Amino acid sequence: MSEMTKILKEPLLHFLILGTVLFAVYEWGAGGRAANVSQIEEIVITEGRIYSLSQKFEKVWMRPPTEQELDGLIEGHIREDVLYREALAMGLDRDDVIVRRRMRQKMEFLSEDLASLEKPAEDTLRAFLAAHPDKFRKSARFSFRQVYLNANDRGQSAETDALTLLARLRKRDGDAANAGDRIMIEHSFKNETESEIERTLGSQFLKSLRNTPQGSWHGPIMSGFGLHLVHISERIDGELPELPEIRDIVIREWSAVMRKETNEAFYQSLRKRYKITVEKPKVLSSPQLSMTETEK
Amino acid sequence: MRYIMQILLIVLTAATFALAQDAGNPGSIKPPKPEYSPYLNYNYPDNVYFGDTHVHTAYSTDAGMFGTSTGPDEAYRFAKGEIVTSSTGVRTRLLRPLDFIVITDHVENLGLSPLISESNSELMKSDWGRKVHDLVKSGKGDEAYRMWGMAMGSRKDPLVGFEHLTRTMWERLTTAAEEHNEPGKFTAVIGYEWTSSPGGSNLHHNIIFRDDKESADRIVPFSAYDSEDPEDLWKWLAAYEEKTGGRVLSAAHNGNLSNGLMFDDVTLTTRKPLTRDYAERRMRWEPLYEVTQIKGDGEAHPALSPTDEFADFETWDRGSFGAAKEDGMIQREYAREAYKRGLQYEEKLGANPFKFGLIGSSDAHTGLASTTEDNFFGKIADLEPSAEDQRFNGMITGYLPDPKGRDYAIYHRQASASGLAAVWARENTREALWDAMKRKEVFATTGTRLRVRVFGGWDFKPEEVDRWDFAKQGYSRGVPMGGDLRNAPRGKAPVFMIRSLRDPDGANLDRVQIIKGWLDKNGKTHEKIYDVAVSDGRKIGKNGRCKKPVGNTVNVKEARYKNSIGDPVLFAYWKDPDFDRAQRAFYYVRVIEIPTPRWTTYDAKFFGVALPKDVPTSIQDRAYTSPIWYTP
Repeated sequence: MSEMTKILKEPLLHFLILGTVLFAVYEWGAGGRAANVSQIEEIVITEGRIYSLSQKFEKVWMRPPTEQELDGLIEGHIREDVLYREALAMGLDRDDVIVRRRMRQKMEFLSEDLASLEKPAEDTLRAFLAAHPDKFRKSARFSFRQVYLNANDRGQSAETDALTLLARLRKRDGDAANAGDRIMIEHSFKNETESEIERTLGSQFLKSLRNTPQGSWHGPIMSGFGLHLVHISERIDGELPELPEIRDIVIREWSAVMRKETNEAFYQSLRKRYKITVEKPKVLSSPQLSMTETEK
Repeated sequence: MRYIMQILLIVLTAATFALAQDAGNPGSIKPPKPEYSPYLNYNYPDNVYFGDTHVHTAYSTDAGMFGTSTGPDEAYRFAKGEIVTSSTGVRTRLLRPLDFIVITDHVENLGLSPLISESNSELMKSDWGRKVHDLVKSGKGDEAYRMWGMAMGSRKDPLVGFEHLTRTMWERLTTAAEEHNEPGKFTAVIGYEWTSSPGGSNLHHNIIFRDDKESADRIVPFSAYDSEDPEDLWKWLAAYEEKTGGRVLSAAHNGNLSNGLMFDDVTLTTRKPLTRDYAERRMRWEPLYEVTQIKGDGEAHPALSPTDEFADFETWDRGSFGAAKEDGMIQREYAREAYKRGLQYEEKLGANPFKFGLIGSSDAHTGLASTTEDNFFGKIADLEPSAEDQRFNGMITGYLPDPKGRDYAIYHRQASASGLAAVWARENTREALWDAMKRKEVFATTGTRLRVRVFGGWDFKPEEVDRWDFAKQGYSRGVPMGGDLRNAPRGKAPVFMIRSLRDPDGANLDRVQIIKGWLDKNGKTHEKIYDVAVSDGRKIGKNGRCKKPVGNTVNVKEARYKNSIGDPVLFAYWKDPDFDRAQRAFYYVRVIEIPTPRWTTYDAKFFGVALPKDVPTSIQDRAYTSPIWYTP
C-alpha cells in the first residue's frame, strides 16, 4: 500500500477533508452573495416560535424549560435554520451535479497537500495531554485483603459479629483467609485497579474503600453482598502516563475534540452571515402571546 | 512432600486435559511431561467479563434512517462508562462500564445513513444512492427508508456495483474498533450482523471475529443480499478462515420471531431433513445462541413448559416480522425445546445440531448498550426515554400486513430491558473472550451482572463448593458450563457444584435451579426443574421444588424495591437423583433474582405517565448458563 492511500484511509483525515470541502462548497455556493457581503439574511426568532419551542419541551418533560434550557432550544432552532437555508442555497434540494463536480475538483486539489495533515504534531499531543490529565490518568490501585460477613444470614448480629471479628483480626490475623462467610470473591487483591474493584465488589464498596485508612484491619464497610472487613496494605495513586506510553489513546481523544471543534467552527463561520434577532418575552408563559409568527 | 507434588502435577495435568477437551478436540492431546513449577498449567479462567455482543449504531440503515445519530465512537464511549448524549438529546451513562462490546451493524448497505448525511461523492454516482440522498435531504426520510425496505424485502442490493461503499464503511467500523480496543481493560470485538429474513422470519446472525482490523479488512462482509441461507453463511465463514488464517463464529438470535425457522427440522433452501454433516457444520459455525434481548426472551415458552412458573418471561410469541404465528411453530423457536430435540437428533444422526451455548445481548439500535430496567433507552432512537406516546405504544412488529389479515403487533412497552453476555476467561482480550465463546463457557443474563459458575463431574464432595480451590477442582475433575460429561462410571450420577453471586449494585437472588432435559429409551424427550438453592431459609421439597415464592418488595408508585428479601450469595451442590447412565441428557443452571420494577414502572414514575396495562409492573431478572451435556 502506498503511503498516499494509507493516508487517505485515515478517518480523521476524511473528516478534516470533509470539513474543508464543506467550507469550500459553501464558499462556492455562496459565491454570488460573497461578492456582496452586505447582503446579510435575517433570522427572527419570534415570541410565538419561542412559545411553541417551550410547549414542545414541556410536553416531553412535564415542566417548563429553565432559562438555560430555553436558550439551548432557541440556539438549536437557529442552528437548524441556518444550516437549512445554507443547504437550500447550495441546491442540495435540487439537482446537484455542479456541487458534485466542484467537490471532486476540490478533493483533487486538496489531496495534493495531504501529507501535512498526516499526524498531529508531537507538541500538539503533549499539550493536549497536559490540558486534560483526568482523561488519561491511570486508575488508582489498591492492595488489600477482605473478609466477608453475610448480613442476610447473620441478621441482627451481623454488625456485632463484624466488630468481634475485627478485634480478633487486629490481634492476630493469621487465619483471615478462612474467616468470615463464603462468597465467590477472592480474599486477597494485589495491586488491583479501582475499576476492577468496582467491577467485583460494586460502587458502594469502592467509595468506602477509598476512605479506609491503610495498615491495619478496618470496617465493617458495606457492599451489595453484605459487610466486609478490609486491610489495605498499599495504595498507589493514579499517575499520569508519559505520551509515548499512550500515544494512540491521546490521538483518539484529540481527534474526537478536533472533530467537534471543526464542526463548531464551520457552523460559526456560516452563522456570521446572519443577523439574528431573538424576540424573547419577559414572561414566558404569558397567555397574550401571539401564535402567529413572521419569519423572513 | 514429593508425593504431594506428584499428586498436584497429576491434577494439574488433568486440568489441561479438561480444557483441551472443551476446545473440541478430545483425546488428541497427550499429557505433557511433568515439569518442576506447579503453576505452568495454572491457566483456567478465573474472571467473568460482561459485555453486549449486539449493538447497532447510525451505520445500520434501520437505525440511522430512523434518527439514530450515535455512531461507533459514541457507542464505544457509552460502553466504556462515559457520559453520552443520545440521538434524541438525553444525557446518559452506565452505572459501571462494560468489559467488552461487539458493534454489529446490519451489513446490508452498511453506513447508508452516514453516507447520505456527508453527501458522499461515491454514493452520488449511483442513481439509487442519489435518489435516497435527495429524498432524505429534502425531508422525505420516510420515503427513502421505504425505498430501502423494498430493496431489502426483494433482496436486490440497490447499490449493486458499489460494493466499495460497504468496504469503505466496514473499514471505518474496524478502525473505530481498533481505536477503542484496550486489551486488558476494554475489548472492542469486531463484528457485524447478517440480516437473513426469509419471508419476514428472523434468521439474523451476528458474526463475531477473533481477529484485528488487518484480517477483518481483507474481506467484504457476507450479506443477506448474497444469500439468506445459513449454510451459505457457514461456507463464507470457512472461506474467511482459510483466506486470512483468522477465526470467526456466529450467534443467531430471536427464534421467537422466526416463525419456526430457527430450529427447524429441515434445511432452509432445499427443505431436506437434517443430516449429520449439517449438524456438525452448524455447531462448528454457530456455537452460540443469543437467547434474551430487547425483542423478548427465548429460553422457554409457557405452553411448552407448563409446569415452569418462571417460563413466561418477556414473551414475544405473536408472529415474525411478516406474518402471525401458526400452530406448531413455537416448538422450533425456544432454546430449551431445541436442546431436547437436539438429543433426539444426536441419537439418530450421531451429531447434535442444537448444541449451542447461551448469551444475552441488547440488540439496541440506539448505539447505547443500556440493559438495566432503571436506565433503558429502548429499541430505536424514536423510542428513547420520553413522556411521548410512542415510548410505550410504538409498534415494533406487526406493521406489515399479515397474509390472512391477523393482528400480530408487538408494542414497545413489551420490549425487554435485556440482556448481557457473560464470559468466563483469563483476561479481557479479543482472543481470550472469543476462545471462551467458542468453547461455550458463557452465560446469558437478562441485563444485570449477576454471576454464576457451575462445574459438573462424578465425584465432587459437598464441602468442595466452599473451598478456595473450587475452580481448580472443578476444572481438573469435571467440566464447566458448555462442557461435556461422557460415559458415566457405573453406580455414579452427575454431581454439580454451583456458585452464584448477585450483581454488586443490583438485586438479591431468589433461587438457583438446574434445568434438566433427557431422552428416554423410547426416544421421547422430557424436562424437569430442580431448585438447588433458595433464599431466606425456605425449604426444597422431596420433589426437588420450592413452590413458595420469594415475595415482592416493589413499590410500584415510587418504582423502588428493597433487598430485604433474597440472598446476596447462593451456593449449591446437587446430585442428579433420577439419573440413567444410558440416557442422553443436558443440564443448565438458571438463577432468578428477586422482583424489581420493570422499566415501564420506572418510566411511569419519572415521566408521570400511566402504567401500561398489559405488561407486569415488576419482573425477576435472571441468568441462564450454557448447558453441560451428558452423552452415554
